[in-house]
Amino acid sequence: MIKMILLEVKDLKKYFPIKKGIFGGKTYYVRAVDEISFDLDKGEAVSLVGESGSGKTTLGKTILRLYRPTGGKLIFDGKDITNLAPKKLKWYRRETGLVQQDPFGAMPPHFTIYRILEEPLIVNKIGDKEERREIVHKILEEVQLPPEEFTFKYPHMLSGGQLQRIAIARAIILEPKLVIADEPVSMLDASVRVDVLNIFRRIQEKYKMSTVYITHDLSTTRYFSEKIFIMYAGHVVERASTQEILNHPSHPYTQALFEAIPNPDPKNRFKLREVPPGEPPSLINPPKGCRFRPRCPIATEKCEREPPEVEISPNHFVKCWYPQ
Amino acid sequence: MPNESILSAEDVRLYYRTRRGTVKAVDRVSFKLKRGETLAIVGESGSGKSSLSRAIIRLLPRNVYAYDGKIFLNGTDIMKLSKEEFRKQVRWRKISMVFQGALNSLNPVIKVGDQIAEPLILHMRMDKNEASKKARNSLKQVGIDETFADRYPFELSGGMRQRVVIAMALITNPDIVILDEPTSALDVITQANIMNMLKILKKEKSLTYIIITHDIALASELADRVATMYAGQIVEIASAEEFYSNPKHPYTQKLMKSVPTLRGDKELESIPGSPPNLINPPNGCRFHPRCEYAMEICSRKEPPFFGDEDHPVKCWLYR
Repeated sequence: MIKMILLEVKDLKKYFPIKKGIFGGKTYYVRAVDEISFDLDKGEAVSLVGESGSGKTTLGKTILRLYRPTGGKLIFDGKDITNLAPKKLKWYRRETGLVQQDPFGAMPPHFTIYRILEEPLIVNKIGDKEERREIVHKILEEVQLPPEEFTFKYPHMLSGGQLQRIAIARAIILEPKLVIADEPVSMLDASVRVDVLNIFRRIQEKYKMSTVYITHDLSTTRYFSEKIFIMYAGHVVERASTQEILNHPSHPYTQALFEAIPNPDPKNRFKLREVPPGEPPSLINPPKGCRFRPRCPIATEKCEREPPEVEISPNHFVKCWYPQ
Repeated sequence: MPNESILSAEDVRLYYRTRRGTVKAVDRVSFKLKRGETLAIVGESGSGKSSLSRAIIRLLPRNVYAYDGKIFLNGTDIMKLSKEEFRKQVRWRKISMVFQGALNSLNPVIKVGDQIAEPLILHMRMDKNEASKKARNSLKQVGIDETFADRYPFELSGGMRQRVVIAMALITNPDIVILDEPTSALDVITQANIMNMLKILKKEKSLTYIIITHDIALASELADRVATMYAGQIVEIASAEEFYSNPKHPYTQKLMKSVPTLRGDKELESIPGSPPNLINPPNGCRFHPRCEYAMEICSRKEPPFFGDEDHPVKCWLYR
């Protein structure tokens, strides 16, 4: 089967300038996304895993062209969208959707749920009143919220889990080709998290949307995606199928993540975890070469040069001089 | 007396007064804690676990409606102490606490060392030089170079600031340390480093911890015993071994099944419905509207604790 590529990301960069000193002074850059490349197939679900400050949210927003890339290329469905002006991006907005972390902050509090979901249809001049009503009802059923019960409620009347489902409904109501979900369940209680992820996954498969699930929580990814990308300090350091990453994590950083995540096991309290000390570097002045080098247990002098991305087995890429 | 309880709570209540009614955040909670033991209290947000910790260390908001019950510390009922006595004898000296998100409430304009020394000056009436010497020492204990005493909080990373907050809680040499979501804002590797440190400190200083968390997996990093809290009540307590291998309360069982794990092919389950509001909790067992085993009696009568002393469960199934 030939896979169709939906999105090509080539050497993508996003730097944010910061000025030091009152009178202009020298300009520094926060290099949040630094030369990242990958392809996203049609209908594919990918998890983007990284710690806070690793640049995963910036990568998501740059892909959506909410930020203008500093360098590199973004090709969506064969069209180069890297430098399109906002006015020329309207069609792209229709093809993409975003679900954010905090559903409470993402909803206008004075709109009813009905109005919130109808809005994107009105803006895009879709259907008449009756048709729009049908679409809204259908999408509410997809996220398993009975329309008769929810259409005329306001956001504050819903629980976090329900509201996040509305956010998902809003993101997919125009049936976009690409959805980015940025930590969609990290504010929810564990018991609700499962529900929201399952519903999202079902819709993703049904509508064959390409999805990027951005998360810091490696343990939820296998319930959602076929592929995992691991990000560290602005770089994607490892990417492979979910099974492959779970069975053969190869980058020392990925391995450290696995060592750090506890499973519920009463024996945990008797042992210390072998995790690297320290914390991720500042992105203003990241270490030369491999950015994980200062914390890496197996680093050598060679690591002061930037490691290439090597394919250690089919479709398993690792950016490391010494993949394990 | 290694087996004697250092802390024992009996029928502790903490209700808040709000415009909508009385919030029963902690509703007749009892537990015992042995010296050197770690108790984890797990539950979803809004289950009253943070309120319980505030009830123990008696740091209460203004709108308290009811605050009663007994809390014995080394055999004395500290609920009988006056405000002043409690402040002088118990809080920070005997029981200290690491608050949730405290790493972000360090004073930005005071040097880290001075902030750590403050409890000593305020609560132990120590002189400044001695206190600052001790502060440097305690920084070393939590794995930070003592030169950082002269830095300001913004110069420290998140993990380091969390270590500073832990150093503050330990500097008065308390018997009991309450840890409220001690790693909630941190990355997994930093979290593992902090947990390692807490394990080492516990051994070195024979500390007694109460760790409060929504994360059942994280609780297993420290807990000797685990208690499940639901809607203001403890519904099950057991040794960690029992709790993780043989959870009895239907709520605990569900909670366990909702934890995603890295490997294995466990199907994740969710808990239908949402936690009740604490102003008007359901009659009978508070979990009955969400419970798949609910019987007629569950909606009518609140269950007492059943089962043996080592593993009590507040559920009619174990009658």
